Amino acid sequence: MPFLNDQDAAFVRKRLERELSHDVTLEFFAPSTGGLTLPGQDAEIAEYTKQILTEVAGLSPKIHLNAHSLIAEPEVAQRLGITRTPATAVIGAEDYGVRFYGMPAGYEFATLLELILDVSKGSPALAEGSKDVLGKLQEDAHIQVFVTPT
Amino acid sequence: MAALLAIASPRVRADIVEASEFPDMAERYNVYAVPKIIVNETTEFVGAQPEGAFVGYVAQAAGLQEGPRPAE
Repeated sequence: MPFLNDQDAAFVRKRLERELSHDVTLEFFAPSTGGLTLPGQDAEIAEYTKQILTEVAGLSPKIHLNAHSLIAEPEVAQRLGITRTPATAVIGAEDYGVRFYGMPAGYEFATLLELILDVSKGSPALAEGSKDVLGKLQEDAHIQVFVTPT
Repeated sequence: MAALLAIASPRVRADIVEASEFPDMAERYNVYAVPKIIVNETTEFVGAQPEGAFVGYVAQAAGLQEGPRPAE
């Protein structure tokens, strides 16, 4: 059964058509391939996450999905800073460091959609004061936002 | 908001973490309410924030003496 019903898929397709500018690549990392699972990892969640991403990528020619295995492709994971799965790096004209960890179902599907649109746009409309402050940062900032799907 | 800041600044990166799927992290950061935001392990807050305040927390965590600001 698809994650998005026809009505939702049509809605998302329309938003993507209207709002996507630059192409977006979703680099998805599952814990393993070939039916091998690791203790403590939920292969079903990873599989369902991949299904959701596949459906989203199918709604726009500007969205590309690459599925990786954390174990089989450690160098790709390292380059993108991925250490846990399921993980999705959302990459636009460049890699802005935006990652989604877990399954983007429920309310979090909307979060994923916004991430895709924001990354595609590439230049957020922030207040001048915010841009000033960000421009002055002397150290890196790693923001982790914890959310739940319900 | 976190993603917007990451897009705007090469110094900022943003992870959205589905807490129930990563219970070890949720426990480590004492996530009892969402959204809970952690910046550089040193600064944390709960709930949606206006842009100015969010940027202030990030600045504080990244060594600037800005601190959270009221909404603009």
